[in-house]
Amino acid sequence: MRSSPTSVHYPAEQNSQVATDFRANVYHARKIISKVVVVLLLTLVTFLFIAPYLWMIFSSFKSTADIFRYSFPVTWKTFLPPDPTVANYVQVFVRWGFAQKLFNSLFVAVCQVIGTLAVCSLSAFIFARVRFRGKNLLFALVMLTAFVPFEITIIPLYMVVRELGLQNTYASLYLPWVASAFGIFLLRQAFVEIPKELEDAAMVEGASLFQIFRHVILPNARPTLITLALVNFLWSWNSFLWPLIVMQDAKKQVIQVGIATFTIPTELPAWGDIFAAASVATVPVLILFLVLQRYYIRGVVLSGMKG
Amino acid sequence: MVTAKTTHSSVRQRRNLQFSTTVALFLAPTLLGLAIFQYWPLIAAFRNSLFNINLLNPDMETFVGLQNYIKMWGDADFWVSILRTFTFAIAKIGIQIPLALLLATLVQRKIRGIGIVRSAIFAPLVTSVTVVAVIWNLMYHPDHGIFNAVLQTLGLPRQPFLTSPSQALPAIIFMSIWQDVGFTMLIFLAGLQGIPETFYEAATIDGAGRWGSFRYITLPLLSRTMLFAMVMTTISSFQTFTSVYVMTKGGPLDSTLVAVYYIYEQGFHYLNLGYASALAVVLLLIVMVIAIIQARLMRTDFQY
Repeated sequence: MRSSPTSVHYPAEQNSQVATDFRANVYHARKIISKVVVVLLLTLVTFLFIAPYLWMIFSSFKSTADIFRYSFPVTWKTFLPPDPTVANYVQVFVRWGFAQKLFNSLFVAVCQVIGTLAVCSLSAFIFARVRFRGKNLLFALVMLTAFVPFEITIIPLYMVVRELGLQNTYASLYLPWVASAFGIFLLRQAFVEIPKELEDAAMVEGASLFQIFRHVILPNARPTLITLALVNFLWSWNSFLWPLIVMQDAKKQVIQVGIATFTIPTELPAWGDIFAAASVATVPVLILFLVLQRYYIRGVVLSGMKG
Repeated sequence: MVTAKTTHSSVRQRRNLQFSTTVALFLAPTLLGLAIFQYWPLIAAFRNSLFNINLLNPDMETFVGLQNYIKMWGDADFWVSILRTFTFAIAKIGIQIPLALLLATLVQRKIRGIGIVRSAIFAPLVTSVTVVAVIWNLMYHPDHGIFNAVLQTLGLPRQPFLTSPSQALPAIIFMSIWQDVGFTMLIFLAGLQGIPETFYEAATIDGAGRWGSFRYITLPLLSRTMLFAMVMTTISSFQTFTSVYVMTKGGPLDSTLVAVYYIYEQGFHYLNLGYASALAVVLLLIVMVIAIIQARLMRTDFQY
């Protein structure tokens, strides 16, 4: 005799055990399903965020003709190069003089970092450790500059740079940014955390202010110095608007402006070249970021400002 | 005579000349730099707005008083650009902030490899807006871009994207959200970390489900963070320039002419420096007012 599903009877003790098992299995199944869904979602999200970069890198190894030939219909060749070639990179370096732009960006970024670290750490040290009359007011004035929006100062700044005779020099690209409220703020936070006993010990030995700075403060603020260096480097490397406006000498122009001037929206530019140039400008930065990621995150979190 | 001060004081305060000079020397580069490169241009911008200055011949300036501001008042194109930028900001806030919050909760889980997901979301943040704009420009290309290729494969019609006055601005907004959501997510991650686990435990004991804890614990305690995210997103929206410059140059048909781009055109194409400065001053005021309004509206201080 077959009993219908709804009228199955179990002996009392087995009833509760089986029912519990059933509920437990459903619960586990649900958990596994939700985990799978979450993993799928996360994979999708990851893909969405790195896909454009992958497309950029793969396309940089395709000839421009291939890029157009396989753009539609969508096959694997739309994404991966069927005939990988470095011709685009050669073109970009030889014909567009990209090596020069690379050097320019690197040089300016390094100068920016050295300058910012030097200038900001010196004053951050004073603000953190030395008491003098009017210090708070001075500090407030320094911090206020962080709220000055770029668009309003950019044109007069351009004229100041001209008046200082820095027209078309590398210095015009980094010097205005060497004194940075963000940098001073960040470093001051770090310096304040350094235990005073270390300084006191140095003072007992008769150390001068500079010696304390060099031997006590700086070595103990290394993580923050690295953070500031990284954030600053990225910011300098990625700058576009300021170099666009202030640098008229094409030989000293930086990489981002170089890439932007490749692009004209309506015509059909050399896409392969553009991808190659963009890859050159981006891949080193991405690698740098991956390696020093936690410093960058730290920098953003500590300040709330985009680097 | 050298005396040592202990405990709460900072560096020993030897008020001699050598000490004071050193302090001054340490501070000088910063103060000089900020004075020359930040404060002076700021003052100059205000001052310039009262003059008629030609970019190519700046010494031949003429004082015009408040005329630039009167001209601005009647400049419909400027106000339209402000409205456009405002739309930009609202779209960003409406989409980027909830998305960032969602991503933050997603990314907080302790699953193996979650670090990769986080890095992926951050990656657009560290690459330049220029490169992002260049890549997306090509992805949006009506004939050869990857977006249309995928759409067509799915049987959907091709879109004009950046070549259409109605789609261009949304297209740029979408790209901008893609790039910036990582930053907002970071802000939320920091905020979420400030909520003690015990609150959630107490809520679960009281019978709250996933949604319940979210609604009654997470959201209220994040209101400060959310306000911060909103203000930051607004300010950066009003600073949009590079993406427009690289992708559309304000077109098609001025549909992407945002505030800063308009100021740029006034200053560098029409060479009217004084007017551009006046516009910049007004833009600054507008952004400040919006930020203050936001702060007022979201004034809630939740404490449990």
